[in-house]
Amino acid sequence: MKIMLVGSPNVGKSLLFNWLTGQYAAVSNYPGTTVEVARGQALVDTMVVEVVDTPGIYGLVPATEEEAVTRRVLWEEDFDLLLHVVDTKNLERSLPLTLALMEAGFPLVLVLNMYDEAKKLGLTIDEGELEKRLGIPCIITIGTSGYGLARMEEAVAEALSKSEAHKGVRGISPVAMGISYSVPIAKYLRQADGMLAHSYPFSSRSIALLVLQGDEEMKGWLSPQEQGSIKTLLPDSDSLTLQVAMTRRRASDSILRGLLFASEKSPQQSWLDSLTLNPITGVPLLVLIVYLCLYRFVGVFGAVTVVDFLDKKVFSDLFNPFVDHIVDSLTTNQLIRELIAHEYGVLTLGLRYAVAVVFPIVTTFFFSFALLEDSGYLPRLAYLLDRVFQWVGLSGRAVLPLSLGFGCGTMATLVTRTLETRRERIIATMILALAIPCSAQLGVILALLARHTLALFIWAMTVGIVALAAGLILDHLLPGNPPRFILELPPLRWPMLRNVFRKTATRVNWYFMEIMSLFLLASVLIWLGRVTGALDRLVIIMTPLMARLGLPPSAAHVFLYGFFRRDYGAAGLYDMQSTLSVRQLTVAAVTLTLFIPCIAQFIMMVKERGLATSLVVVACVFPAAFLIGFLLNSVLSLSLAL
Amino acid sequence: MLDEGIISRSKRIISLSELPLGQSAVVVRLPQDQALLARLAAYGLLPGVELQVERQTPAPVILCGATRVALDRKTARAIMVLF
Repeated sequence: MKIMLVGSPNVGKSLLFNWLTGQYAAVSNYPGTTVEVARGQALVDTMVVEVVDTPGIYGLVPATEEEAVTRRVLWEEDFDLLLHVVDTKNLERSLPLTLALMEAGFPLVLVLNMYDEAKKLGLTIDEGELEKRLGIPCIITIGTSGYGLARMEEAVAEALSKSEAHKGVRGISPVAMGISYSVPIAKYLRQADGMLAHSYPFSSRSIALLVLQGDEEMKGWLSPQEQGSIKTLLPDSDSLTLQVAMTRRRASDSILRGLLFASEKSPQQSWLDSLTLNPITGVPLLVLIVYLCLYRFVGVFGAVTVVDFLDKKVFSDLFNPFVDHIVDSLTTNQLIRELIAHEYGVLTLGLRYAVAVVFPIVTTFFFSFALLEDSGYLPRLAYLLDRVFQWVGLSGRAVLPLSLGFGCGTMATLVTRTLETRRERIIATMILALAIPCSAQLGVILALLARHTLALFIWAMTVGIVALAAGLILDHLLPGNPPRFILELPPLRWPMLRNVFRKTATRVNWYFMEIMSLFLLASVLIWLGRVTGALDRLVIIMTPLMARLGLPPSAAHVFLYGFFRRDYGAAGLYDMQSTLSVRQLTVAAVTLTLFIPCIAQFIMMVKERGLATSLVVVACVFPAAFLIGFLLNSVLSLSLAL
Repeated sequence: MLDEGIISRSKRIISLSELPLGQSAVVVRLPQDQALLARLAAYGLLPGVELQVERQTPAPVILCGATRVALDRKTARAIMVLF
């Protein structure tokens, strides 16, 4: 037996999912995409039931990657019951989706969640009458307090035993069949019903309606013959999507007539809303929140305090010497010794880097992120910053991956998947690869230039201008439209700590699985490069470039190691600083910041954006870094200041 | 609830971006683009629906039923309301 939870974002689905499944859930990415689908098991009555929590959808025609995944899951997987979870105060706008799901022929339970918030707005509902009119179970719940959840479970058990009774036979309920479309659409639906095979997971009525609304993916799932025929049946009108939406909304309004009781008209804007949305108070608040969550908590506590402890106290002092000792006593083969232990070994570099450096940053970040997400603040942050990001072809959502880049570029590249369009993801990936220094690199560069205020200023200005220019150029060059910004602003809510911890744990766990192999792979590659002498050859190739930048030949080594670990490069520079002039330091710091990202970030780029795009990014970043370094050196050598 | 066909002579059709703060108006026309229209409809924005503008700066925020939606200006300009 399998049940699925569907519904819009921010309706408390994951809380209901957690309640049903208890502790055991597996969150994984839907194959080939970047969207999380959670699965768990629940004991309903005496039945063991698989529960699937699908990504939020607003309608059955997918507009985002999340919606496409949910639609695919509904199409591909065999399930016995669908729980449509709605935010009760938004019932008017959500019921059309319930009707669309009923038209598809799915066995359905409607869960009217967040009833407490609706009541606060003076909204009550006669759910018994709604149940009668819809012909499906309707359950009022408050996920946060547990109200109604036992009744929801009973309704699920009852619906499941019913669905077992008439095994596999799905019919469209009379209510859904009763939705009366305009004459041309109704005629089209009749014809399509006669033409389409009836073995699809969605009813032919639903399929025909989706195709009518311009759903190309759905059309592609039909047989070639049907694809050809359905095209000839389509009514001739350019407002079909609107007509379908209006018809469903009218049907839903007439079902709700007399059932929704509102004592007040609409929710008044609370002081918190104006505080967070008005730029005059919202921007300082945003700066404060970003400062506390990202800088203090992730950047200082995670990336410095915890990293220092793990890296120095645990790894440098205990783990590494121990591994070195064991490996040295086991083998005398220098190659194997260096592969596993010592400066660049799989355990002493790869594992250490993943555990001591990345793990604390990732955990603190995902915790902050879950907190912002569950409090409903995230969309407000995106709203305030949207104008700024529009300049470089991004939307306000980009604030997350970009600010995260100051922590760990590899993780930030992964997080670019939260952006809506491929175009935005490419722009963000490029800016991350080119101009955002990660915490490790930033630390060393700040230390390096701290005593030279002017140099630090020139470094920050140059890197900032490059980031902006890269965005502007890509926005101009890439095909497609700049992102539209249409975002629901959910009410601010106190995050449930249990949920925040759970989300953090699942994401950290999943991220760790992804990243661990990358760091191990990186240290194997360094080992290979050293063993085969490839690294030495690359240093020789790069040496002439150093002269162009006005740097000594030994700087080539620094740049190359910077590819393996960004901070290694900067740290190498730190060791050389006594031999370099301030101008040389400035040029080197700028070039190193812009220079290709570390190898883990590059591998992540390949995984997320594909090899071709990643190679293009590197092919842009590499010359850009050296060109800008060269230009900066030329400009600085003209002035006498440095 | 949809509020269709109530057109009084004193009212006029303006774009959403011109609607004064705090005033209610009824949607009469949405952008032609199918994908955009589908997204607006998903938030409950359909012809006949009453909405209010809560903010116009830095970008429009509207309240439609209990749903609060932020829009970019370009989209707001393409939505016509009866006010």
